[in-house]
Amino acid sequence: MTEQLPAEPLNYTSYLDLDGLLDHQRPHTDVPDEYLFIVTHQALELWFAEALHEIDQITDDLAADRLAEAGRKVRRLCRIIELCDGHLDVLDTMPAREFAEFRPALGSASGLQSRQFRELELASGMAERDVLRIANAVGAAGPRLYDRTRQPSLRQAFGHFLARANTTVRQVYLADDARAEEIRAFAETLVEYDIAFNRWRYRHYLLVLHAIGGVSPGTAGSTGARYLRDSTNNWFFPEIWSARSMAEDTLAPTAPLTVPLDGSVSADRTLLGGKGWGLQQMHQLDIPVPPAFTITTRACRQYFAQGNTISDGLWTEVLEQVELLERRTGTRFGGTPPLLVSVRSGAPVSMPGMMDTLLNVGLTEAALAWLGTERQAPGLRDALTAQAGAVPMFAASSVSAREHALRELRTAITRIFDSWHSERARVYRAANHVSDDLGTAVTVQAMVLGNLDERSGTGVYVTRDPVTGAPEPFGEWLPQAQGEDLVSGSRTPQPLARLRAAMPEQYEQLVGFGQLLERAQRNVLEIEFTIESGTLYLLQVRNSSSSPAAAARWAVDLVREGLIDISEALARVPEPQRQTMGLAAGELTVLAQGIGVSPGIRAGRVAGSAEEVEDLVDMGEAALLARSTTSTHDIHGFLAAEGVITEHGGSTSHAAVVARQLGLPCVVGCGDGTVAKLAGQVVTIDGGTGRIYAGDIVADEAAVPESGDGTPDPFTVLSRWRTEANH
Amino acid sequence: MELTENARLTTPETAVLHSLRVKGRATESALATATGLSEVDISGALREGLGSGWYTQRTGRLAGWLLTPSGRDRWSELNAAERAAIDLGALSEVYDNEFLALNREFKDLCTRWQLAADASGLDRIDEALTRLLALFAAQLPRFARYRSRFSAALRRFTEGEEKALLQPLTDSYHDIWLELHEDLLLLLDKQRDPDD
Repeated sequence: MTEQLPAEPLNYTSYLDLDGLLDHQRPHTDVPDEYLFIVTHQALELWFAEALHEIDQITDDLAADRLAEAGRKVRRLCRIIELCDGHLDVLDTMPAREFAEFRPALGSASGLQSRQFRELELASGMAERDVLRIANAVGAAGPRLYDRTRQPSLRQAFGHFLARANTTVRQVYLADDARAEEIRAFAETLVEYDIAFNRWRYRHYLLVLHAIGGVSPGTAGSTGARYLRDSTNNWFFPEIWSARSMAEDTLAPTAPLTVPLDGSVSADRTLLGGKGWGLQQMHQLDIPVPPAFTITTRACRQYFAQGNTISDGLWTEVLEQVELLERRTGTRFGGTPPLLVSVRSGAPVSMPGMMDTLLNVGLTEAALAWLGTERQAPGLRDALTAQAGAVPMFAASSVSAREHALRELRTAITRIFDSWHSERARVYRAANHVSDDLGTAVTVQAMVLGNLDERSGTGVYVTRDPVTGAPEPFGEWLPQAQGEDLVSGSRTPQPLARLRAAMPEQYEQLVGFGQLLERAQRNVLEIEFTIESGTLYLLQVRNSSSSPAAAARWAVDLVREGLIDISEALARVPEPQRQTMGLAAGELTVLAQGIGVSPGIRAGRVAGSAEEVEDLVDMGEAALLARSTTSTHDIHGFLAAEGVITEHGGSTSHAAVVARQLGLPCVVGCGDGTVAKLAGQVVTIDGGTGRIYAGDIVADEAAVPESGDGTPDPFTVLSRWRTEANH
Repeated sequence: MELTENARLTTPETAVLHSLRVKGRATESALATATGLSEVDISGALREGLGSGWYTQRTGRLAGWLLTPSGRDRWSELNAAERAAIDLGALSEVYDNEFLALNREFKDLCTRWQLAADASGLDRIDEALTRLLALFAAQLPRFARYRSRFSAALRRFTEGEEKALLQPLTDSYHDIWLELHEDLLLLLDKQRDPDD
């Protein structure tokens, strides 16, 4: 074996391979700043490689329980990521105009394709599924990324370390011995890294807004910018953050356990939950809502901390709040006139699997007798029977009516707290990175009685017509009834205009509140209301659903009224689709008729296979996919086609399912021979009526519908805005 | 050419060939998901098959690999060998008596989910499917792969990712279902019900 000697002694240039390194910056244009652009990105890639190198060492250190060493390197990692921010500061001095000049030369290259960046996310602790989904979408996936999924991430390595140390993140933040303090100090460096990394994500977003140009904040057009903005919601160490917030909470137990929603106290959303917070907001706008109070998320955390029991302190506060409700309503809980309450959950973020609402809590035999003899109260008897089933252990005879009602309330609160840990809610939170420690609030609200007398009733008011979109009050009114009667359809409601005739003062009030709330929430709203003995209460406010035509008209009108901007309008009406109403059906030739299973009207040339669809689309022509029936081989065609036609099948066929999923117009069951008959022709399909027309009637200007009042068709306005936004 | 045990649809080469026959067209990563092989193995198998003229690649917006007519011929040979080696009658009976009914139930569920946001019963369908897959996998191990793919889609769906039920070409539950159905039709030499 011979000793191999270097040809010449190492020097600075050869050691660093500078000749090679400096040969790799090759601009594709003669725009001067392209050189800066390349150098910045190459330098970032080098630092990403170095950061990965550090993470590999940190995970090794953690595996060998070398905590101090690992901490030192995490701090180094923070400095590296901060340095990356600086790179972007330099690039940010590039004028957007210069970038626009060499941008075409980049082809499809995009920073999102950085494989090392995805690897860094994985190595730090982001969920494998999330990273791979993005990587696959942008073409950054590859063997190295998959290899990385088989190594422990920083987050996992720390988890393994804690398991070996026989402790948990939460214990580390609660205990005060020297060992816990040492581990906590390390965890804090991870938090520092999380912040540095997130700052980099936000810096990158700002760069795209500022230097790269072509987007403005809030534009729905650029998915790249939106992705970057949304990525600031990604954190590597959620359990550490959650343990920290818990620890802070025990240090400052000043947050209230209950809050009256009467305007006397103002609390934030994390404490009140969505429902309580919404009621507080309505109060601040002087909107009449039935009296209520909220049991806060802090009370929920206390409930779990004390082994799922309601503390005496909390219960005393609840009793005081109930008395407050009694005073404000002139009623008596468990007595007469009865105070009935609804008990609703409200987490700071809404989630499936939670117990939602318990109605008519406080309903007793005595209350029912009072209501039943004095009023018509259909349904309440059933409600009482149902509650007897839900709260079986309290025999009504053994305790006073008030005691019975209070036990019922206590059970309702407990059930809502307990539902926070239901299997479904837990799975949802884990998947969506929502902390298990947030807890839910519980809002207790007096129920108002729409069936009390002839000056009572209930209804639903939509601030604009949800069918035509016209800016006129719309809705239903049911005199002397409760909300359930409206929902169950046991009685036929009257149009809202009847309320105007019967109680003009309350009607004007209602419409006034609707306009106020529209401006506050910048949306068309659906409002549930009840009038009790001439007093109007708003019960529930949510964004109204609408027909596609109404959605388009609202978007355009709200822009004109200055409530939203154009980008918001475009985001709310993603795809303008013309409706059947504008088509003069008499003058059109119907070529085929099937079953309309996915609505929308689109035109295109009929292609008999997925490949043909793609060929047409590649040549710049709109295509409709027509098949006898559909199989796996056709799905690619769905993604390129404007619409789908099949000879066989019904509303549950795969073609219908896939088309609905993609929002493509689809007509199925047109009969044997349809494909052969239509192939090659330009036709228009109406996925609502199931008709297939000859020619492109969508492009035909004469077929464009106009609003009844002579204003321009909102679909045309939106499509013009869309075209302008894309330039 | 003698068809050895190895030449049945179990090597990377044959698994890729079969998966493309079922899917019609697929990217390398979709093939990796469907077969459970690494992308390196997939690339290797595709390169090899490309040499034999079995595959062609389509580029553009919806890029992917396709079988050539000679690739289809090669698949037909393998399929014939596979059919000869198993108890077709028993599987055909399971298909006719059980899978078709479950297929109808599943499509009803998909429609109900789209129109009324109601996916109740999916757990039960998934359970019934598990039993059927076990029957098929007992004769052809590749059917076991479907179980883990369905489970992954179901998990994504129950974790709140609504698209995991139906979104096409994302290995959604519906995607995998369509593939399984196609796989069974090819194996049993049956035609798709025209209303499917």
